[in-house]
Amino acid sequence: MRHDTKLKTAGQDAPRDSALLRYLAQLAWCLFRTVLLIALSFVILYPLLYMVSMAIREPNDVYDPTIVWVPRHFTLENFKNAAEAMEYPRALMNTLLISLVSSGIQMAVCSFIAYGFARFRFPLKRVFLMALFLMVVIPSQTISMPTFTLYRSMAILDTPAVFYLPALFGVGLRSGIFILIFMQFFRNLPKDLEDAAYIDGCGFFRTYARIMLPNLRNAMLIVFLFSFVWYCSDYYLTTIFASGMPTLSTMLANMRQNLNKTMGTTWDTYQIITMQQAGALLTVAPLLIVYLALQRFFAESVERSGIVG
Amino acid sequence: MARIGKRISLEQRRRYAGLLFILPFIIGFAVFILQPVVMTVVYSLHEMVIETGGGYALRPLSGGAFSHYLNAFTKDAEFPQLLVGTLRNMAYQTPIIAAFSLFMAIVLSQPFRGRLAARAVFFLPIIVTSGVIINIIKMGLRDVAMGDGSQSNLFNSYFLYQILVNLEIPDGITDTVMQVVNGIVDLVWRSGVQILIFIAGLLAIPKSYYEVAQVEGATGWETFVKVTFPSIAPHMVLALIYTIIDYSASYENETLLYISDVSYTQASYSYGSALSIVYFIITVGVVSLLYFLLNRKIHYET
Repeated sequence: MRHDTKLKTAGQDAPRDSALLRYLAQLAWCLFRTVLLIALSFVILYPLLYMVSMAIREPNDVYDPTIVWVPRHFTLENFKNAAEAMEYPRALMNTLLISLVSSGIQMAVCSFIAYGFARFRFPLKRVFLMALFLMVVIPSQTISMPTFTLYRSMAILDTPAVFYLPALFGVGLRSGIFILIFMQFFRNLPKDLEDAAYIDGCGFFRTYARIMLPNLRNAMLIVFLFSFVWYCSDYYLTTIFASGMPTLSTMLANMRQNLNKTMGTTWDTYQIITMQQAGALLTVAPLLIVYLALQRFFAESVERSGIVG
Repeated sequence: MARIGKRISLEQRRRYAGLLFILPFIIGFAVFILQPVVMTVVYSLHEMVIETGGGYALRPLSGGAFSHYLNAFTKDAEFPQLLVGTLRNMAYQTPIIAAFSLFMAIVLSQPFRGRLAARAVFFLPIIVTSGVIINIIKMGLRDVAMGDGSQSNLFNSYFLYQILVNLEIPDGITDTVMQVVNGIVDLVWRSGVQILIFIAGLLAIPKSYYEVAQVEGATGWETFVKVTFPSIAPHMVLALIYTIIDYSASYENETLLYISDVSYTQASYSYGSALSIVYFIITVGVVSLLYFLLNRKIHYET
């Protein structure tokens, strides 16, 4: 598609082409772009709109085939039921605590490790880079059972430490990717600043903390956002290593059982959809709020820095 | 003389400083990655017997230490097929996702009104990645579709499907349209991070390159091939590798689902370990191959 339009605009460079043709080509591209963006935006927003539409209707409205988007009986009862079945305040606190602490740790530790990889030469560096690569590629499912045994022997199962401890050693949830992102940022920073610091007798760690860190704001923001999102929406690690600790994702997954347990009434499969969608909305809410709050800075830091290379 | 001596010692100190910086990673990798991987290999070479009280014992395998690995390819009816299927999906989805993301990134990095809003929308899939939420959405749609199993992997197509059926459009056309639509939905939802990577790359290309191209009279296509593409080649590698890793570790990946089914539901963990190791080695192989093949062709500036 791109090639076609490019070719079309390419024609304009020939000297005989009139300004009108160029203008028309531009207009066509503009139109095409607008239509494309609107259509694809719809595809992305659809599930969210669907969630909202389902969440605010009365359970019985699911049966009514004439209701597509706008519910006939508006209600907020679903949110109340969902919050109750999910033990929302507790699950939210757990999720926020785990995600904020873990992503904070990851920001600090991964940038530290990345600085070592990006700026120093040391023995066996290739071996350690290889290890980094392996860590990025290995699915956590592959090693879940030995990891479980390990955590049990450390007596940290069902505590937030199953998230904090690996993060502290630079092997947390997708830490490898974050180390790579930071490495790329360090490579783009000029060496002159550091050299000046060294000549002035500043130590390696002070140089890192005083000179490099302040220049990493954009990278930090990107890593924080990703890390926070991935910890918040983690389901797999939580169910295996911390099933006793309710988080938003696990409670949402178990909602079906909990709903019928906590409420006197039994809902059927279709009626429960409304409450599940309400629960799903309550689960993404913290993420959406953080995203909307940081969105501006995020877009800017992407624009200014170039996430890689 | 003294100056040279000082320089060498700084160089040596740098070596140790580098090791100190990555020390947490060395420890973490040894404890949390290497040790479990070694244990998984050990499991895969034995038969694991779960004992009452939560412990387990490892017994030697009757058919030789590697019999789990042999069985995976000779006796297992499903595993080789699933593996091939996963690799095939990887092979055709990865380039499509990369091409689509690059195209969208080019569109989104152009100056037009509302581009920040449009970008915010396209980055939403990065935020709503949670498998649980996506499952809930799908589950809801599947249930609404009243148990029609074919609808299970669709996001939003049920209503469209209804419209097409109501319009009495022939089944063949309906199916094709539905496939394309579902493909696009899937594509858009899996391209968030890759679009981000490409936008960052495109915005980092110095404007002067394009000015030179224009002055030299390059056509749009020539500019793309000679300026844009080489400049974002490293990002292309990154996007491709990210796509593969994302797919290979995704919780919807059939091979991984089968492995966890074998390990936990069928409770033959040591056989599951062997399958995991095979899968892991193949993934590492694919990613390294891609990395080395592509990297040979890329000219890095720095």
